[in-house]
Amino acid sequence: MRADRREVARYLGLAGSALPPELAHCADACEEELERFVRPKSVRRTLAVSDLPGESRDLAHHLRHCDACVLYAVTLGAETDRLLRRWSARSMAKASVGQAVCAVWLDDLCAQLCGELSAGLEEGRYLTPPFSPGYGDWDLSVQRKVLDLLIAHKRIGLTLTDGGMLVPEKSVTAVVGLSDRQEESCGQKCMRCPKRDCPFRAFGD
Amino acid sequence: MEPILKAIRTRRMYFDGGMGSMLQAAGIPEGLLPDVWSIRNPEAVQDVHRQYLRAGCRLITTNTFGTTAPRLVPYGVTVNEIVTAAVGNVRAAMEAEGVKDGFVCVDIGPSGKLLKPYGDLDFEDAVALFAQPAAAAQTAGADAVLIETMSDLYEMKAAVLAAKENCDLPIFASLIFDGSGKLLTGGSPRAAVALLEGLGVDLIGVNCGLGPREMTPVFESLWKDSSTPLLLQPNAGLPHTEGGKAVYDVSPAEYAAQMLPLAPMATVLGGCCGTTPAHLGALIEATRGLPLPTVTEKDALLISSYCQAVALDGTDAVIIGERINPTGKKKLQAALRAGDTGYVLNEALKQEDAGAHILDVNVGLPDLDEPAVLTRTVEAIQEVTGLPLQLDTSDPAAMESALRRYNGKPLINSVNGKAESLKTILPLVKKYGGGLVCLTLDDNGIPDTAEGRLAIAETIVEAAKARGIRRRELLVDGLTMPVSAGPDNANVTLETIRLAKERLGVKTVLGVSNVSFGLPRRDNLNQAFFTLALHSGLDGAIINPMSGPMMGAYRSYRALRGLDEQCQEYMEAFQNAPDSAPASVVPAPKVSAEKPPETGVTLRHAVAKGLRESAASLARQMAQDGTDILEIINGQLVPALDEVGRSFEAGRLFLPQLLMSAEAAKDAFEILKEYLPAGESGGSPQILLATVKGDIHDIGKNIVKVLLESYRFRVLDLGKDVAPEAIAAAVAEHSIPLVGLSALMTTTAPNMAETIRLLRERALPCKVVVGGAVITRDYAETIGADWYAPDAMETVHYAQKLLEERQR
Repeated sequence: MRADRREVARYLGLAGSALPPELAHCADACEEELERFVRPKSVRRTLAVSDLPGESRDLAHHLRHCDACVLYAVTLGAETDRLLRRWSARSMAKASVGQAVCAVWLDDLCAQLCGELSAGLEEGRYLTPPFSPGYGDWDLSVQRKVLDLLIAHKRIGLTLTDGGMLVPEKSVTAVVGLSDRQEESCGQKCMRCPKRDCPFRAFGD
Repeated sequence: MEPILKAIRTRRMYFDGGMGSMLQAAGIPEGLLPDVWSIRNPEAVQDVHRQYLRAGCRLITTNTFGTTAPRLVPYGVTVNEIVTAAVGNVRAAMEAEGVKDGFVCVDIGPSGKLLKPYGDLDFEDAVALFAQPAAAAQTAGADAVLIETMSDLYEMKAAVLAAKENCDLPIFASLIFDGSGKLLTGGSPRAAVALLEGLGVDLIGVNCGLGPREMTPVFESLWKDSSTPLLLQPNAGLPHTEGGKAVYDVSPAEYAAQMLPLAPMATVLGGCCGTTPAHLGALIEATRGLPLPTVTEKDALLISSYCQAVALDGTDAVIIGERINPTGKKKLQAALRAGDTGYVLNEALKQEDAGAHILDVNVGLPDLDEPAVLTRTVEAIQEVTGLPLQLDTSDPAAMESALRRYNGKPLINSVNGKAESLKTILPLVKKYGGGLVCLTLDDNGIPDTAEGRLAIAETIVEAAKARGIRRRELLVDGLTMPVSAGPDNANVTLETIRLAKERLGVKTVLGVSNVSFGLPRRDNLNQAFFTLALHSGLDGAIINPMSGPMMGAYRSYRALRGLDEQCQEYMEAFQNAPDSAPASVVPAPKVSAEKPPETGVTLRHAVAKGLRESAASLARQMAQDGTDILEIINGQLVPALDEVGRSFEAGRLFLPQLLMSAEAAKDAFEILKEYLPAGESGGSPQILLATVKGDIHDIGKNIVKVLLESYRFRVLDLGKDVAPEAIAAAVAEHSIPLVGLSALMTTTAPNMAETIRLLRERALPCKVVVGGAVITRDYAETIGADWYAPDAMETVHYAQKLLEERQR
């Protein structure tokens, strides 16, 4: 896998710029180590919308045209957490670049998963963009049930701390809805998010 | 020998198959913990057991896979109640089927949490968790404990220890590997064998995750390394999704056919997810008549970390890096006393880059709490490197503490021939596992002949054997004495090594560099002695891997003895070294960091450009040339940092570039500190940093730390997941004027409020600055923080304002 360097730059706080050479170099080094040690994993499950845990108006609105949904989890695995700590021991500069590369890898893996789901749909069926626990009023406390529904611990080694944090660190859970309506389709990073002052906001695709 | 262990050695015994899907077929509601049916619907559970008994299975697992205390909270039952009922159900089922030759195995599955330092479950808490089902298995009268579906060797260690400490039943230990042949936390099959044989389990196994065919490579790997009988319980193939559920579509006949080639390596067979009584019936039918495998004793000594194992098989020596040892090392001593693990971690990583296979860890200083410091240091090193470690201490309490929490099977340095040593150290090896370095000295001192030392070695071997510790676990240390103190010293050491291998059949180890003590050009002697020792049969060499001549000697020996295929490693190491120059110190890392410093580049420029190596060498040069240290700091470092800070805030530089400059300044400052009169650079901490309780993210905090240190603030970093009490105690102890707190999640931000509340309650005169992704200016105000830092530089500015103001 190769992380788009402009995306890496965006996660480093400078959207719209290219990575300067010494940082691009650093990103190469991080990516080489990730390629060697990291084994990303994912798990998914098709559910009825009513099977999703928690009460959320925002989630309900997001899935309002959907008759079913796919719940998924993606992780870069425990060895990525180890690499991050290893980088931190030597250089926080490298660790901060490495962290950005990991964020892009995670985005790409989620996009890949959604792409696979899309490709498997029948004619006339579409996916909504992903919606994760913690978005809007879908409270993070649903994470426990989400992991249980996916049997995430056994299948991909994804667990939760007592404080509700996903471990391994570079992991994501989300739900995409299945509907007959095209206008809700995937691929519009950041456009639906109300936080306009976010330093990581992507510009229009 | 227990009846169950005798049985599995006498005839083929089979575990049962999947329970989950059988209970689903019996109508168990989704979301209910299946274990609870052991009490609420015993008939349904007994019925499943009876079906497997009728199919021919005689090793029956209890319906207790998820039975650890936290999971039982919603149900109002205890671990003991479930385990007792579950064991009772198996006995009842056997009674109903008239089975007299069956055995009950209490099933212990994973806790569902990842252990620290990656997750938040502490190792000892994990042991306590598993202690409950283990103790219950004993009182309920089970025949064995089956710990299965473990995906992490550290959690497996906790569970096995819990079983060893809370029951005296045979222990079967089974792991789940993924399709790439590794455990989820990165462990290899060989590392699994190292750990589990060190702990002395009765069966080593693989279960779940894969079907028989996919499991074959991992199983074959276990078979090659294991001296312990093996257990195999695959799934009925790989699941596919149908209507949202997992469906296993390998038929009973197909399952049996796939298991057939694996049966000659498996002492005990069974089945996991997707298997049914029909699958087990077919399996038993197909394999019942096959002879049991003959499990042979393997000779290699396996030493492991959380993920990888090093095999010492007597043919090829390994390098044990000696640098983490405070003797004669002022910087390391200071770092250990200050609790600066960063320094130690760097020494570890440097040795790894230089080619060490194992790292020695010694933190013995008279004024330190050695058990605590050794344990903490070992854990910190294991967080960043997969190299196995050698625990090096003469304090038995420190050895036990570190050995207990070590993730893997380490080298233990050391035991000697004194009765006291044998009495305290051998039981530790038996309980936790480890390769044991045996010093050939006793109450009479160090014999001055090889025969004398060998006699002591023999004593140790016999004492170990009496405790059930295999000969292959032992490494005899020939004791290197300076040749300047006695002309025969080197000869005696080499002869001891030779005889130990020839007569006792043990491995050998030496601390090589002592031979040259007191003589000039020590490298000459060390290299030559090293080569002679390798030729005498040395298995482990405790040396400085950053020494060019030593690694040169090592690589040359291997190339000359045909141990380095086509001299590949030799060439890789020395390809770019010019012939006339002395051997390079460290082979250049693959993606190299910097170009060599250009002439005319100032220290200020090097810092501004983030050139760490150049900054360090320029700083040393300037200091050696006699430039006033404060002049260097104020004339070069400070302006460079100010310039970079301004560029960052103006949006002309990225955060990593800011950090590169900060790290260059920090490296330069570390060097300059050596030239300052003692006391001028020291002092108590000015700023305490911590990520609050429950929060395990620390990259943001670490970034702030690097920036503050580059501006020469003295920082005390308490790490992550820090309780309010610990922060308050540290502030009180060191009278720290500024506390920086970070939290990443809305769920942990309340702990930030709690910490501030405690500090105010104790009337501690410190200011508090807060930051983190979910923290806002409003929230900071609400919880009573003195300042809010939206980014790392803001913390630096606040610290400057606050602390530099105080100095006036």
